[in-house]
Amino acid sequence: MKKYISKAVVLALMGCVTLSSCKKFTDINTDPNQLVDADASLVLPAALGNVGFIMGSDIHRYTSLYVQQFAAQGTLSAQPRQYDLYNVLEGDINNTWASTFSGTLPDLQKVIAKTDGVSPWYAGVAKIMKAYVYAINADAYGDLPFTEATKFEDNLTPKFDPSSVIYDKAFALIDEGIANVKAAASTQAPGADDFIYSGSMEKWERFANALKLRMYIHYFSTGATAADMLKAKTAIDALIAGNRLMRNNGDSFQFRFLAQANQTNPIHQFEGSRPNQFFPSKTLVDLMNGKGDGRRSAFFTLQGGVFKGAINGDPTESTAFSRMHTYLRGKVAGATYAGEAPTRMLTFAEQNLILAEYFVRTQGGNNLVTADTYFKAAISASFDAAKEFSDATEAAAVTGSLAAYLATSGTLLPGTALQQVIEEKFVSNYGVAVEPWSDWRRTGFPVLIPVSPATALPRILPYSFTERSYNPNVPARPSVFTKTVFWDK
Amino acid sequence: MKKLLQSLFILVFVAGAAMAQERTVTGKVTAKDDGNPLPGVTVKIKNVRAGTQTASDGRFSLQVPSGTTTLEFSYLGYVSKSVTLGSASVLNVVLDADNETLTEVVVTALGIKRESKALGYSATTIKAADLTAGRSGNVVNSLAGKVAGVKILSSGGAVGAASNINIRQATTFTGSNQPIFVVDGIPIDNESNMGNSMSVNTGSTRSNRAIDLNQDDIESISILKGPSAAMLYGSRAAAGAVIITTKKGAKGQTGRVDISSNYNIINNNRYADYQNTFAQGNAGNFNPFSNNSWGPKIVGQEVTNYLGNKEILTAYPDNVKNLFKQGYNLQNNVTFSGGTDKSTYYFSYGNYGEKGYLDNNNLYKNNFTFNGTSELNNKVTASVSAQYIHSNSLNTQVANQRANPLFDAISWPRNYNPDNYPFERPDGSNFTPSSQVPNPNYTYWNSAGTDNPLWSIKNNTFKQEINRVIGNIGLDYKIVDWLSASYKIGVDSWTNVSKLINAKGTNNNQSANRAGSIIDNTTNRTEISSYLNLTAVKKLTEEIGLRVLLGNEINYRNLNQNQIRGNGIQDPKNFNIANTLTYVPFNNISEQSLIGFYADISLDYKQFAYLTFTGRNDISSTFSPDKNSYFYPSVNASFIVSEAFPSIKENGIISFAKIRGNIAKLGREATNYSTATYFGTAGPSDGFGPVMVFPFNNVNGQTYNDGAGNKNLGPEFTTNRELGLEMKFLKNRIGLDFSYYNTKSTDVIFSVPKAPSSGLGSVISNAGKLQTSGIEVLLTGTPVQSRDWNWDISLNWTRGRSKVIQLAPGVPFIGNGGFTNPQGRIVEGLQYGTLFGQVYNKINGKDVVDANGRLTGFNPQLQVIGDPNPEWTAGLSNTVSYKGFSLSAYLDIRYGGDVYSRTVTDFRRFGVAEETANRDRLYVHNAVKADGTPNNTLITAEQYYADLYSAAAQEYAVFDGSWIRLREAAINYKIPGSAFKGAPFIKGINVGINGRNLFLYAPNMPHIDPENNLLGVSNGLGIEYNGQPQTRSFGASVKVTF
Repeated sequence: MKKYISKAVVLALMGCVTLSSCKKFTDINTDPNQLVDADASLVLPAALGNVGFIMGSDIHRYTSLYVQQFAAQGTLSAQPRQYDLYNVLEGDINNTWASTFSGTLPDLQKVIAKTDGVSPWYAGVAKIMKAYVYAINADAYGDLPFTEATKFEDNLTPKFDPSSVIYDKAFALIDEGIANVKAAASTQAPGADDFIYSGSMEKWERFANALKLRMYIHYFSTGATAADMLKAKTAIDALIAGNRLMRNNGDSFQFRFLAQANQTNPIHQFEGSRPNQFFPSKTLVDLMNGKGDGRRSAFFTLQGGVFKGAINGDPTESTAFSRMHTYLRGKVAGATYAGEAPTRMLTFAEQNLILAEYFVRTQGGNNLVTADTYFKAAISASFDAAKEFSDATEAAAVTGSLAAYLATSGTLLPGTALQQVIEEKFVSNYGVAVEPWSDWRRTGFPVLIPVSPATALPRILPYSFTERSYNPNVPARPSVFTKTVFWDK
Repeated sequence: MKKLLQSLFILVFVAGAAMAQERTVTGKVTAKDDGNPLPGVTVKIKNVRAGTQTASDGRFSLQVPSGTTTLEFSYLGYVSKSVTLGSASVLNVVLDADNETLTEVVVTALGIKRESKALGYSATTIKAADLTAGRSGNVVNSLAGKVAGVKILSSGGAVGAASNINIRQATTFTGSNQPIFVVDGIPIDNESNMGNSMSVNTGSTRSNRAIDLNQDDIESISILKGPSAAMLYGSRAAAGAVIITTKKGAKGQTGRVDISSNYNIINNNRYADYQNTFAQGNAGNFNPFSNNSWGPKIVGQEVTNYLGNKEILTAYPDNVKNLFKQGYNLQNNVTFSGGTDKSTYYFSYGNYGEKGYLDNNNLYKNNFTFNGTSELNNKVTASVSAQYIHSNSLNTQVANQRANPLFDAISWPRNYNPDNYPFERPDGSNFTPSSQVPNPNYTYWNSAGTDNPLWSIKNNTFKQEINRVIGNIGLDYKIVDWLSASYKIGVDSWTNVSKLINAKGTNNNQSANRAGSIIDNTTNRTEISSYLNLTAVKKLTEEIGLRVLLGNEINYRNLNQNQIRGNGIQDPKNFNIANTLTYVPFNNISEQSLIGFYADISLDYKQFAYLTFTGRNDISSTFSPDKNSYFYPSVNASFIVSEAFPSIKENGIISFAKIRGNIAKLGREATNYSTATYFGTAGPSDGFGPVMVFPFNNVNGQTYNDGAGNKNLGPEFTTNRELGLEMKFLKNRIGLDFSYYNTKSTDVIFSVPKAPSSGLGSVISNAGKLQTSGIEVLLTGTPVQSRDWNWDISLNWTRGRSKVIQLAPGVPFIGNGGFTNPQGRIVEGLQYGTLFGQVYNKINGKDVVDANGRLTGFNPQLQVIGDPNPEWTAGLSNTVSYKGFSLSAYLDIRYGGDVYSRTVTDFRRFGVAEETANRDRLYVHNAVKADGTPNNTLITAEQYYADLYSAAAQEYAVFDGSWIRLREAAINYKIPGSAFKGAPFIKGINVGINGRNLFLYAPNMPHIDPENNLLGVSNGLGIEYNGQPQTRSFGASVKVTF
């Protein structure tokens, strides 16, 4: 302070005679409270955290309601009730869109720019993450800005690219990312700041391959062309031959939360901040009830001694339903959940089911025996993961039921194999955003009855109102009930 | 005071030709009102240019030629006098103060005194007597209704509540529209920087920092409107300037002691009209856990209360009223002042104590002030001014949160008498119902989670301790007769150490799981200002005068906030931060600097035509080095018609006429740190409550801010055009002052929203355009003027409008404070800050009902629900004096200005308002059915009010905030010193009674005083949210002069 007093006096009396003294006095506009530049080891965790959070937030609510893993309850004015009636409007997209495009993607961009060529492990992780973010969002929205996006002031109104182009760009990014994470050395190496794989480059590589697998299986859809399927087959065969896929549940792509206030799973947090609005859907619960699925003990609470789901779109208000349980909310003591459950984004079980589907497909692997092996492996992996936060009794109930489940529902049968695989995927992807909805769009499974008065399920999310307001390049949108994403044929 | 002003504004004399000199006349000139010597009085020989001036002790000595018969004595602010010179060689003269011209000396920018007739812009001066008439504890409040174009809006009746001051509408979007405050030439802080612990959903009352000033130290306040008047302060004067001049000692005055004391009682000034017929509950059924009063008729029936006990249902009409106790304020002052022929001194000590109408709301303040001047030699005068302020205050919580005691208490069920039940457990804890099963241990009834208001008042507090120093030292150097230099450097530095307690067990947004939290904050703000001025005053010819001021300003501001929030209070009675479990630190440092060079060149012609050019070049730290220097000019002119054409005065009707006009441009700084984009701590969240806080798993996360800075940012410019007319009639008995102004702001700096796919959510840019215009009229009159009687009347009237011309391409609106709904918005084509809220769906303009006759479905887009800007405002002041008695009354009138009242919606939705008591009939919404046919479905009163005044529906909760209020009134009696013959050391005693907000007429605002603003010192207006009601105060004062 004193220095400024003396400076002011000197400056006044000198009348700013020396220009440099004036300059120095007014050159104080660098914010001392924030970083002008942040190290990659500080930016990567922000991006990872954002993805982990977003995938358990708005976009999970919308898509899990559409695909009837969940059903909304409460008064008609409660937002989830509107989502459940497919009234997800452009304004509802603002938060998840901005968090992704002006949150996650810029941070990944910054990490890539800082580390490419110097610390390839950081660059590789960021590229794989960017590919994941684009893939999941292309699945949800269709066309998106890619080539002109995230250029900051250089392009404030990015053009949109076709979803197929985004897929191709994402594949290229993944390949770059894999090459990067396989680099022999990296000046800086991710460690504790890698919330997902704690710096294991091998796991990132395996996930990157699994992500490709997921993206390629999307080319198999009800109306897929021979060219689509051939492209996918070639790639998937190569991935299988490469044998660098996820090996066990420990390789699953998921974001682990903490049993601490404000750091818990967002699906769990929503249950606290908006109680009685978001229940497991009757569609999912009944499917599991029909098979006596032991995972219910981890997925749901009992309601009146049974597992009971809420009907999507049901106008009758009630709270007499099973609620989400430890699998999504973490360990429970009394009635308090710890909230440390992860947001699951691409599990080992899903990878097995993708492979199972591939081998079910005649224009894919076309080998029901191999498919069945993967199918069984998926079920075992899912049962194993389900009980992670269960208490001893419930864990025993899950484990103890595996054999019976495998016996009754664990064998693929010709004719129904695809439905079996996708329905199993529908169950084991409980809590996974977007993907179950993509599976339904591709395969029509599980068979879903649209919520009245709608006569069909939405096939895309609308674009964000903010984006549309400030970007004249936002394309006109078809109805959300129209097949729009390139693989949705 | 005037004498001192005068000594700074000395006319330059050209010595006359030597004449035959015969004798020397000496004497002393004194003022009639207080007998003090008058320095600087012009003494002239009639019809001859030769003359002299009185010295600092009022004495003069003049050689007069033979044949001289008359000497003329003239002095600014006093009636000129011609005195016949007899044969005596000693001539003592007493001058009368010229009451008509009292306001003719105006303290302008940089503390420079100017004759008002020379000004080409609008400026108003308010004297101490008018300021302290109502004895408000906040100097800003005491300006209410007194100056045309100045709107004061107190945020409520809480002790220390902030008051918003706005001069002539907003001129910028998101920057501050509060005028700059200047004390004795040095800018001081009047913002309400409180760290990040306060929002519309958390925290306690905020103050505007000018509340620290001791009003009894203030000699006068000049209001300089518009950028033209204040441009010498640069950016911050875009919204006008409040120029405060403190009291000084007088040269040659023997020591004088003033002791004054005043005491006021304080009460809530408006209580709601409650129904007292129906009890707690819904649909006619009693429910002791409900916050509704739609229960059964109270007929002395026996019910089971929330404790599980039987009680006789009784109405308690005063249950809310009893919550508000009588508060008081007490102020004592002692001053010593005086001077020698070379120096002056003024020392004062003031203490102020206020206790509010709610417990745990109080403010105690001590002010020490010293002002002194000393003539070091006949060329150099030094001055020093220092104030030290120490204040302690305690407040309860406010805003949209369950720890705000009025969140519930203002609409208590009519049968609930808090005196009948414990508000805390024996150990002091609270225990509120989580279900609707009676429990003898409950400390409150509300099962929705609100704390018992009495418990909250006792336990959830906000404590502040402020230490503040305001001071300056100055040197004036009279280089030669016509050229002088002055230098002044000043500092305003305050430190606020505060502690916000969200007690263990409380349910609010800063106490997750009722674990409690403590927020310790230390905020220091320091501003240093330095001014170097060179002034030349010279007659170029007999008729043309020139006045040139060249100057330099250097300004540095620093805000440093350190805060730690501790969550999870362990021992409920220990409020040390170490008694908490987890900690969230916060630090914010903000500094900026400015160097300005300015020139002010005035020409006058025969003292009836004035032309002034000003120019200023600023170098502001808030812009990039290649953009940080910018220039802005102004020109203003004043033409005194009545002196140019004296013939118009001949008929005796017009006594004075002046036309003035100006065009002024002003460059406004940006917010500091806006030129770059930074990384900030990551913190994902969605709109439903879930959040993720970093550091996470012992790792911090830095995210590239989506709000981008802009290195190409340049200043925002505000251009003001103004025309004015001043006239006086009938020997100055009637006066008129008319102004028209039009202000255009261009390149308005704000965060312009962008498409997120660019990677940015917004970019700070020079984008918007805003236009304001208005008319101000001041009518003054003296209907009665005689030896003993005097009646002054003054009416001011203002209408101002501001219109948003343009935001930025594609940007439909930006927010201006409030909630998701309702909120103030800045929207192209609409009035600044128009209120938007949720409204029901409409068919042909009518609400739509469902099959049950209930309103249904909100429009997904927020709609305009009101305009918080008044259509016009006015003030009417009357002062009647008879000998030593004087009676003053100030009416404050506001027409229009919408207010959204959450309190009123609560009253009606909960069924506690008197108008909801008519329940024997059924109601029907003035609406249509879904098919467009008229609605005819009958519903109950409860359903009717629940629909219209739902917390989610805002359109019916907006009221016209027009008011007429007796803002201040005072009766004073001045006992002259001559009455104390036996005690000659007593020079005078002044006793008085005074009051504030004595009468309120707000015809369109039910239940509450419309003067209430959730958003305090900000650009947001028109939202009332369970605020503490406005106060009425009434008291007496005594002042003794020795």
